[in-house]
Amino acid sequence: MKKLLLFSLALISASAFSQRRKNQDWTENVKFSIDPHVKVMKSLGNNFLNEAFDYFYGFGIGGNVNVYKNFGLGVEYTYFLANIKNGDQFGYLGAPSMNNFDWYVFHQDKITEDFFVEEILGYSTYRMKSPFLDNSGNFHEGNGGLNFGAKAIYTIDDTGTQQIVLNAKLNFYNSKIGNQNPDIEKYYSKATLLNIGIAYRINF
Amino acid sequence: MGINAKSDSEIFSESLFVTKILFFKKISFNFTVLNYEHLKFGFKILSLFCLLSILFTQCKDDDANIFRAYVEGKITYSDAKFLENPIHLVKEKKIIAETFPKESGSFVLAGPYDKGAYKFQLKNFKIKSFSTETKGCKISSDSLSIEIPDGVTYVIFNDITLK
Repeated sequence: MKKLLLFSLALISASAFSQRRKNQDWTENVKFSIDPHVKVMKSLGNNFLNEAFDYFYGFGIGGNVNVYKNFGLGVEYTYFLANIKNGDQFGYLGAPSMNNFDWYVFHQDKITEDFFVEEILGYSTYRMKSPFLDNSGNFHEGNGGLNFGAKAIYTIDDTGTQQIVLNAKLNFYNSKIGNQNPDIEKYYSKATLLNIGIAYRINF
Repeated sequence: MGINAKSDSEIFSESLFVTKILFFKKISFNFTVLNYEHLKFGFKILSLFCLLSILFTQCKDDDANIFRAYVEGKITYSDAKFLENPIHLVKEKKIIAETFPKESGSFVLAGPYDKGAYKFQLKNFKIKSFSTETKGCKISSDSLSIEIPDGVTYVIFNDITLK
């Protein structure tokens, strides 16, 4: 009987201990959020993305995990569309659509109780699909590049669950479109994209 | 020192044993009481795992063998009707680029392709002669196009004259 009592006591203390340990666990600081967004993207400088298209507009969804202290990881998927401005140097192709993933590391700064700023650095992948005008299929291009930028985050409710996020980013677009003339190769392969968006974030 | 003295390794193995017991009890406790906190924890790990798995499937390299054919030049024409029809780059009967020549007769054609030869093609007008620094280009048997050989992605036709 005495042994049983001792054992149960040990069990209770052990479980209490494990509970207390768990409260100090690093996973307690892990916060997860998702944010559906809309974005506008414009190419800068002398490249085909700038000269052939007006601007890209798109929508998508993002997810963020705050991993350690104010640092975290995130990903955004956006589906972009664009109108053709000048198709002459683009090819016998129709208006494109683009699948874009932005992978990034972020650091969050608390400015006031309900206003935050996040700095972002990451890598993007792009896949642009344009239909041949004679309906003979699609032409795919695009590859990847670095991205960096910032987000301004406003909390819009008392519990901090809902937030509005404004983001501005520079994305570097690289693909490998070959040409004997290096200037033309660069014209079709490299671009800098300015990316502006608004998102509705839910924290849980 | 004295009788109670234990070596470091003994202390270590004892503490390891205690930790093992505690760990085991923690696990068994977790199985018996599955509350909201545990579900939340599981969800967080799962979401991290999902993010990483998408990352690894995304990392693939493409565009290894895609080229933009880029042809520019100037056409000397006499009939103004020539400007009404578009001119093309054609690869195996498939159009890869289309444009209308300017009034001066100059043009730029650019289009995507992967490999092989392609043609600079007019619709109703026949080509008499052309000049270029690129070797291997020749007028086709029907005179409607200039054949551009495999591997040439950038050509300037300085002076294309029509029949």
